[in-house]
Amino acid sequence: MIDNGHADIISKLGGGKKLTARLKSFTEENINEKTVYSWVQQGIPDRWKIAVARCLLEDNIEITHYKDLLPPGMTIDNLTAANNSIKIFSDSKVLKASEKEIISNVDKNIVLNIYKLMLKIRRFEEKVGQLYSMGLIGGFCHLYIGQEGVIAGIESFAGSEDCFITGYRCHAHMVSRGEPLLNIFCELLGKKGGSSMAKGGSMHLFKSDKKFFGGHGIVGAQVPLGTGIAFSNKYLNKKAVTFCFFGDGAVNQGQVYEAFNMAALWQLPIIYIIENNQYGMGTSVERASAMTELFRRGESFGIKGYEIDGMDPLAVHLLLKKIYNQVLNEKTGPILIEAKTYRYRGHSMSDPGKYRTRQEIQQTRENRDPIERVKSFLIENKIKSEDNLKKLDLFIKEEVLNASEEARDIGLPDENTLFKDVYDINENIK
Amino acid sequence: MNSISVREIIRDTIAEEMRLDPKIFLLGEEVGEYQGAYKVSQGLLDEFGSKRVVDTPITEAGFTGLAIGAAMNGLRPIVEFMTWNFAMQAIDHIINSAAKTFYMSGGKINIPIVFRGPNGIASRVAAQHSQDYSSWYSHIPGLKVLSPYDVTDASGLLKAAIKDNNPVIFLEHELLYNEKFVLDSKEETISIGKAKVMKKGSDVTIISYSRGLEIAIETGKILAQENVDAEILNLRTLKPIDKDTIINSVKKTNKVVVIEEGWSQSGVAAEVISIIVENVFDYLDTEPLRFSGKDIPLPYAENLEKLALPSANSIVKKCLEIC
Repeated sequence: MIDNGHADIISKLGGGKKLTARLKSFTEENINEKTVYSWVQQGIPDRWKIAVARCLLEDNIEITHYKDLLPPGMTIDNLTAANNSIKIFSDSKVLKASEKEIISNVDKNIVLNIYKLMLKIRRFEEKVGQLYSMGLIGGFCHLYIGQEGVIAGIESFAGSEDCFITGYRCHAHMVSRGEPLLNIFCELLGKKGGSSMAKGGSMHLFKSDKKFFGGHGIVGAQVPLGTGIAFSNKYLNKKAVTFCFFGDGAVNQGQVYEAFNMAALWQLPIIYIIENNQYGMGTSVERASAMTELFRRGESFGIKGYEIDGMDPLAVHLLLKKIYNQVLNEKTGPILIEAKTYRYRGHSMSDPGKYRTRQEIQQTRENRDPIERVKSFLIENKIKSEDNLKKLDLFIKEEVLNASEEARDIGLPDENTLFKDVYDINENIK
Repeated sequence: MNSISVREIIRDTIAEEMRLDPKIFLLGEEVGEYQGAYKVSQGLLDEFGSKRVVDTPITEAGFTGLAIGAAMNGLRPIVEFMTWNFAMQAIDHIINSAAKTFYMSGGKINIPIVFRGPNGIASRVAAQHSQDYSSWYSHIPGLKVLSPYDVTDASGLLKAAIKDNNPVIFLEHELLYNEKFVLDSKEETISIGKAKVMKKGSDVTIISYSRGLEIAIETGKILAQENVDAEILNLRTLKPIDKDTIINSVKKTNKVVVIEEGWSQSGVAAEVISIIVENVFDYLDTEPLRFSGKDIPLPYAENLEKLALPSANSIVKKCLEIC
């Protein structure tokens, strides 16, 4: 037994039984007494440490000498601020979809398409990671591995007139909107035929024919831009919803709230999606946000917010489709979604990873992985056999490999394109 | 011929273009109900309604980003900054979102947008409200920067700006808004990137833009009394700058004076003089001269404010030394 004082903490909090009930009540997660009792011997696992620390704080028990209880960099002030973010008036809430609801409401083909898209993104990003490690991709490179459930759940119901915009973690959105993998690989490798003529790179991917407006490198800038896209759709009487993605880091940029204000003032058809992967670079949400229930961040503008489990793509599909239809047909104005998700890889390829434990990553992979989750669903509900899915994976791997090999064989962009497209020289008004 | 003020011609030009294309809209603080902080948008709300004349909250970063997003998806916004000083809140969007996107997207997404409003000094409003941003924006590839002086400039350049498929910075001058000029109907539209010879001359070239032209013209008049024949050049476009017109004039006069309200370091005059030195160094009879705003935040007191800015008298004195 390691003496880290955890047994002492549990005893101070009234023992295993009391603590279990308490943790259940405010985390809304299922945890049994046996597990909590086991912590006396084995120590409190990382993922429960903040919750336990909150209990200590609420009971005015001094926590500073339990050194390993708080994650790296987090202070008691951070924790207090998070604790003070008590429920304020609002319709904002945590949305959940049960397995039963999913089975009876989600079409089998949709489940399969979501699975295929997630797998394609995962295999694509894995290959990108390899190419980066080989020194073939330059600059910054932010992988989406772990977060696939969010975009795949949304793509499953989005229409061709709907608009998308995001930050620099944008490869998945490009794959999702149907850009050939070859073009994306060429862009990342800085080759001729890149989707942005090899001028933009990893962070600046665009697909205008499918209304994907990028791919933006300045944290938070895509929020006013996306709001403007929604403004133009309303102005032009187009029946379309804009999906504006940003991370838990971007939520603290001032311009996000300038945009929320106008979106609410003008009731623009937009769904803001916070992809909360829990870390803005190396800073956890608790260390960055005084109020950590990010889905409530629109409340002072009257924007309804909902938290959903971004690691459950079928729930994303089911819950967001309903909200999407309201925004599209009932003109409800802007909606804010916080999709709780997780990235397995670093913020970018140069991430030292000191701000979280390996255990946390491993546990999330084992317990919450969106691809494994849908895979089990497909097998358990006899939509596809394990064998079928293996073949599908091989097929996708080959597609990705072929595109990457082809891209590697392509030449560098022509030097005479250096000055091309600084200005649009088309003199006709578009 | 009837004369008209710069303020009115800008309003009339916006209205004329808005009548032609329903995708054009005006957005900014107090452009609608208040009729414009400087009354430039007077009457536009009545004619076009609140859908196309959009009052925004005081939220420069937000509404600039929003307008750029709207331009990405097919609209042609005209963004009014109450003054260019406030656009510093939004300069990230102007540069990173508007100027660079066409290039970064490999030509997929163009941003047809006009950013306009009063630039430069006003009168006795001190440092935070008195600054010339000409050199800031003309530094940036992907932007076009226009700087009108009279009503012909304002009308012709604004038409060109609104019709352009790129982001255009349109730098008006508050102290010119009330100035009246006769519109030159021969110059109904003006090509972006072309300077104008306001007065032909043979002894010295005086180059300026915006309100600097007032000083240039006054300098030219005083010099004429001293039998010095100055050629006066109005840059009109600061980016892309008209190198040919500058070069041809200096080849003829062999002497050059550049006037700007902005600070000298890395300024517009510095750029113009570099162009001359790089291209027609051998034609110069004497060193090029520049008269810029003094290198200080603009002071409030009337006498100090005046001292901080270039004046015709000091320029004439220097010109007579070289001519």
